[in-house]
Amino acid sequence: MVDTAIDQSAFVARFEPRYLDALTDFYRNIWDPDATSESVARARTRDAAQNVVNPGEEFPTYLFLQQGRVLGHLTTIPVRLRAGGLDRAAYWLIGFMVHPQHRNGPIGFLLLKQAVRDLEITLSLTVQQATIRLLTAMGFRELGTLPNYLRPLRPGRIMSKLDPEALGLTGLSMAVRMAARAGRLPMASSVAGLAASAGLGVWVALNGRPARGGREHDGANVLGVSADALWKDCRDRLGCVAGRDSAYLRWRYDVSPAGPYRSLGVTEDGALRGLAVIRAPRANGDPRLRGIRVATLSDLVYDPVRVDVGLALLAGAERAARRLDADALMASAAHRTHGPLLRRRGFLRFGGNLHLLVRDAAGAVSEPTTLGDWWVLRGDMNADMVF
Amino acid sequence: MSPEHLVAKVFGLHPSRVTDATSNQDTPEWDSLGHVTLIMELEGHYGVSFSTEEALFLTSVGVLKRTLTERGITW
Repeated sequence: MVDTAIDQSAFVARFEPRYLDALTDFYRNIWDPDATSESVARARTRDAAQNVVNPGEEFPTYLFLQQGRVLGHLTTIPVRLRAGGLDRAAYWLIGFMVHPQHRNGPIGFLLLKQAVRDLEITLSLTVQQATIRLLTAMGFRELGTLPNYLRPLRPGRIMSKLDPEALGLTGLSMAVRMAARAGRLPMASSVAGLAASAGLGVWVALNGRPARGGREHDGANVLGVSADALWKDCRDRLGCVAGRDSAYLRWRYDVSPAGPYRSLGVTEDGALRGLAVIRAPRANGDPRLRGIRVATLSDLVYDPVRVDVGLALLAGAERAARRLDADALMASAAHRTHGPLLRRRGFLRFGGNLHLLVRDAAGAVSEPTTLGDWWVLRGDMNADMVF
Repeated sequence: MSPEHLVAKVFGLHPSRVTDATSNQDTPEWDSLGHVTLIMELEGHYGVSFSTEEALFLTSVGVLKRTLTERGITW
């Protein structure tokens, strides 16, 4: 039974054009009621043009088909994984979805089995315990949970709406939970909001003010050719990192005025020293947020030795998030240098839920071995689409 | 060993909790990996082989028992 293609009525297949209509039906049922065969084919062609592992080739996508219907789906984002001074082909596993009527059956297992058989290095960010169990059974190593950080931008608005219990926020102190409860009272939220703003302002002024000298720039041009020079300059100081050259960044982040992302850069003597990407709050966010608008820090690229550049990027990201009418800026970051940097800018840490898992069949990435060695943020694997 | 006992063993349940109605919809321990483990246990224990499509629908103890009975398996 565990073979992936032992009979013809139900089997796992890598996507081919002949499955386009079946795949489109699955998309329509699960994710996007407006999907058409043309839109799905167009998206796949667009992605293929940005395939950094096999240029021009469609991203590997695995389907579980039964009698011509897609019942399960797993796709990938090919990346060049930089580790130890070398680039290797690797794949983020994304879009792992089984038709609701067939969950907890063999489909997820069979899809994953085929994917890891084909792909040497695979990476995953997931919150689901069942998926973690499945991945570890397939030889993935769980490196840990990405810590979450939240920077309140409009504390009064947040406190009037925040319900930590409803959000399942763990790791908050009793004092913070009580303050959140009290803060939902109308007058209290205004007073508490002002007090929190003042407190954060003092903290940041003392601990996280960027040094003078760097200049911050907004705009899509940050993701242009200057990003290539930045990437080449700092890539070997980021630990283990999926490639972030200009081609990847432009493909990954739609920073057009109508797109969901905004980018900014910090320059010094005319040279780009760092860039950040922010995702705007979703129009229809998580209902548990009760209308709190949360922007996401999707990406950061800078030399971590340059703490001044990191602080300037965070300060710029906060301003960009405010312009997007966000109440808070959310970040999840694995690298050991990110926590201290985020705290200096007034980001509050709360429990994480995004697990990083890595499978390296060839043992090519012998180092690094701990979560803190990985430069992973929410923009990796599209994990910034939650809020 | 009965199918109920195999299910109980694979998912770490007390045998008294396992009935014909026990399924992957109402048993948190019965996830995708557990399902595949169960199928392999059934195949090994009863000397049968299930196709991928059959495995897709072996999602409750009642269906498991009926399928085994149709194959002439007794326990």
